[in-house]
Amino acid sequence: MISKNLTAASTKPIVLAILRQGENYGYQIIRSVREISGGEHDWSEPMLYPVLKRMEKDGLIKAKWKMVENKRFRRYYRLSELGHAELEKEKTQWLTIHAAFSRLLEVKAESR
Amino acid sequence: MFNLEEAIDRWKKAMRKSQAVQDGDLAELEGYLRDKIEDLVGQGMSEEEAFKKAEGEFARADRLDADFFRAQTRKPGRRPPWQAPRFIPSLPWNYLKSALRHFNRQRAYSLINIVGLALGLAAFSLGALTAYVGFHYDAFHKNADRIYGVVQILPSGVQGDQHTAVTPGPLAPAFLKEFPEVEEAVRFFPSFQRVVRFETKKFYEDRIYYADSRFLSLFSFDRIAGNMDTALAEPNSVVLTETAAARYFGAADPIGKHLIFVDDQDRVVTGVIKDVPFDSSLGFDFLISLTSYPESRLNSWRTNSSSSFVLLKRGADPRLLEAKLPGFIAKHMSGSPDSPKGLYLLPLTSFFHRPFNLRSHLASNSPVELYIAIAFGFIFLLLVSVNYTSLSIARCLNRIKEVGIRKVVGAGRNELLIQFLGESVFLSFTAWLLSWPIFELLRRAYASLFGEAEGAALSLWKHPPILLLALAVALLVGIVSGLYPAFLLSAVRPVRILKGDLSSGKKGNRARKILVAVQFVIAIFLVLSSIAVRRQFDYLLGLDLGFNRTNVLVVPVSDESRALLGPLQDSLRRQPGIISVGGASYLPVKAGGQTRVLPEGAAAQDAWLMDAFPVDYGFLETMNIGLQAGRYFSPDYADAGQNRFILNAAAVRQLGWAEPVGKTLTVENRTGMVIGVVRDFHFCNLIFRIPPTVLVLSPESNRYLFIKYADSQSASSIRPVVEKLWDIHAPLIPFEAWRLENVFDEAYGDMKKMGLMFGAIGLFTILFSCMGMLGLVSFILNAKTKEIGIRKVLGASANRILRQLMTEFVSLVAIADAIGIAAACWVWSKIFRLYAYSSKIQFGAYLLVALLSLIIVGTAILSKTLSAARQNPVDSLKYE
Repeated sequence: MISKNLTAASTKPIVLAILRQGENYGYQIIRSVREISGGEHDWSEPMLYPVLKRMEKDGLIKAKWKMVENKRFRRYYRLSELGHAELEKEKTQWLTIHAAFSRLLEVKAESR
Repeated sequence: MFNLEEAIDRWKKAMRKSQAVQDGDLAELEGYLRDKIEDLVGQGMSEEEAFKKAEGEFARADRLDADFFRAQTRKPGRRPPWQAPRFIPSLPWNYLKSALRHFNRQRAYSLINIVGLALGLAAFSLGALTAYVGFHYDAFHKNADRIYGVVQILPSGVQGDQHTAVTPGPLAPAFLKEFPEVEEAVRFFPSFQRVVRFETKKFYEDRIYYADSRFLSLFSFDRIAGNMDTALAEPNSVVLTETAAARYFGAADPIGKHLIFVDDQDRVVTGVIKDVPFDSSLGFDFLISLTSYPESRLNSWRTNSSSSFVLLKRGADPRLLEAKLPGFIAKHMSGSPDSPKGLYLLPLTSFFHRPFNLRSHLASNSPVELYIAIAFGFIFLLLVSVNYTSLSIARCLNRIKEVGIRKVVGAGRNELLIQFLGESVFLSFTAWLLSWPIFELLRRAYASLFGEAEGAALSLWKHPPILLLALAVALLVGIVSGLYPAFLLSAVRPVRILKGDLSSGKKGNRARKILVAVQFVIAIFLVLSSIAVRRQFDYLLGLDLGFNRTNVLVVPVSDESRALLGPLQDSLRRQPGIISVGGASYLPVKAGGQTRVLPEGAAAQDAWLMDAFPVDYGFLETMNIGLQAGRYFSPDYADAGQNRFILNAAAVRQLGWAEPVGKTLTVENRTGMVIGVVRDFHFCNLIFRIPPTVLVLSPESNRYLFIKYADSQSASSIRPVVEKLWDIHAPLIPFEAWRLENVFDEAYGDMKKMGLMFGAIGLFTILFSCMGMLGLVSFILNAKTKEIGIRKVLGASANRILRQLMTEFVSLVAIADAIGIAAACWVWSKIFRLYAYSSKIQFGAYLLVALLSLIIVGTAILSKTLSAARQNPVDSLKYE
């Protein structure tokens, strides 16, 4: 189980990453995340939706209503310019941390 | 059958209740829900199962809100503003906010409402407390509920029975000896005004009593020094009050010191007690032990001289004791025409408000004024309550939209009732809290008017029942005023409201009108009442007393100086600037004793009881008491030594004599001739009628000298003249002099203060009523703005609208005025009949007040309507 804080922190970059692959909508995003993480990340809509709203408010993503099967509407999200830039920033941050963390753990393993 | 669409609709409705979910959000969430259901159904689940699973994701709706909020907020760790503080349930919190919001929206009116109610509660509390304290005089004694005074019923011939609490000396000890129910019995009586001396200090004292040794045990007066059980045991001991002690001894310890009383009696101070409290009908500065008194008078069953009080044993029934009293009378008191027909016990606490014809040494007052105080407090509260109710109702009609919305999102009728009722009660509770500081202010004003001690006694904290009574009243007002709007609002149809049909129908209108009318009636009644009472007091104070009280100096005369009065009076009369001099036994503010009077030829049992007034030559002339027949007492006619009497007009009326002069009269045991008749004059409390009075010439009973001086002189110029002569004729005796008017001012001071108070109440009521009325009327008119706008659009002119509104309101007010005036007239004529003398009801004044009220209302309507009528109807219609 991933801790709450970590889940919260990672939501934004993961969503950005998914949306980089193309336009997507809420339920699909959650399904993708579940598949990619092998069930580890089990997000819920009440958890995701506020994040999407925030990101939209910050201008990282753009949203659009699209009609589905001629009877109802669905909201689709895609990355904006700002979103792309933000994704790069997040990527750098996470990879930096990851690198540092890995080095520390390797050293420890060696010294054992 | 599971219907997916219905289930989703229900889910949507539930979601809408959440505070953070906005319309756009809900659409997207619904989309997500449907996506998930579709997916799950595709995996093989039934629609119902899929729905349940999808719905479960949203189950923690309140967490949802908080999550949403936390996602949106910039500050970390913040609680969403719609959530109640952690320990308060959320729906009441919502009600509270709604109430505050509503309050804020109309701050002025709401404030008027609450402050008004607080004022009413404070005034009511003051009135109730005053009455409570007033009716509980003498209750401070520890054993007050077991203390009774003995009252005799004396036959008095044609007049009917006379009740008197002045009894024979031996009565109290006999009670103690013969009745086992009696735990303690004391007797006491006043001593006449005398001079008291200590070293160089000498003063006139007129609050001296002789009292039994057990007096201080039976009654509870706070001790400062000395042993209360033995202080009055030995002969020639005296107990002083604090102030008296300070007068003679300053700060030094008085115990053991000797005071010299007028007959050169040396008495030793054995105790000091605190000053007698204001709510005691027993008033004294000195208590001399009874054992100092000559035995002969004390032991006579024939002389009524003492007040006798008994303390019954715990659990003893006074009625059982009373049943034994006829036997007691037969044993000790029968066998003379003066014998009492009966004896009974009167509780100590009933003495202050006793029937006015019950004679006693104890002070008394009429309870009428207390009743008036209660009545005023109550009616004022009523006025305020009605005002509060009508304003609340009017304000509530502004909340119809809120009610509509609440109903749409699922509030039931009960919930709405609870909300509005609760809100009303909460407001009235706040008003109750607010009334505390207001009450304190009122109490201070009262204290400055009537005295610190009286004011201090009116503390709410000392009388929690009154405090709780005020709370109960506040809550009652809250409930009653909240009921109508609560019912009205909860019955409203939400769809109609939201569509914009805001009229509350005929019922609401009628209720409003009735309330305005009722308010007017009460307001008019109160204002007229205070005017009536004020006038009554003014009238009483300005009443022609039958004698002249200006330009008269009063000099007290002691036993010692009495003998020297003759030559002194002669010297005084010779002074230029002094018009006449006379002496009398009493000051013209308190009557003296009663005496049996037998007209000539009448049998013994047909005796009358009349007031006897011993006077000296010159008194009647000095006081300008008009002569109606015969002549005044005069040394030229050798009146001295003979028994000569003068009657007042009331006495003549009672005796039924057409030609009183020359007739014979037996007063007490002295038979003599009537030589004159004077007009009635007031020598006692103005509440009572002038009693029939016999004036008896007896210079040996003089206790006051009255000196009338010319207009050209003043009290301050005459006083030294008198003093100089006094020093010549009576050098060793202290000299004091007062203006007669000051004596009156003191005696009637209370009445003046009451008059002032009622004047203030009246003014206050007028102001408050105006304010309340204006508030209500303007509020109603605000609501009518839309109607005016519509009428304008339909073509009505401003004048027409004005006329219509005016007739509507003015006729209402006129009816209310009529009712109010009628009520006031009826009530006050009944009440004033209790007074012996009352001013006539002045219709002129009443009509004036009614007119004034009409003018006020008319002006209010005029100003508001004109502004509304002149407004662009578009603005009026937009106004909501």
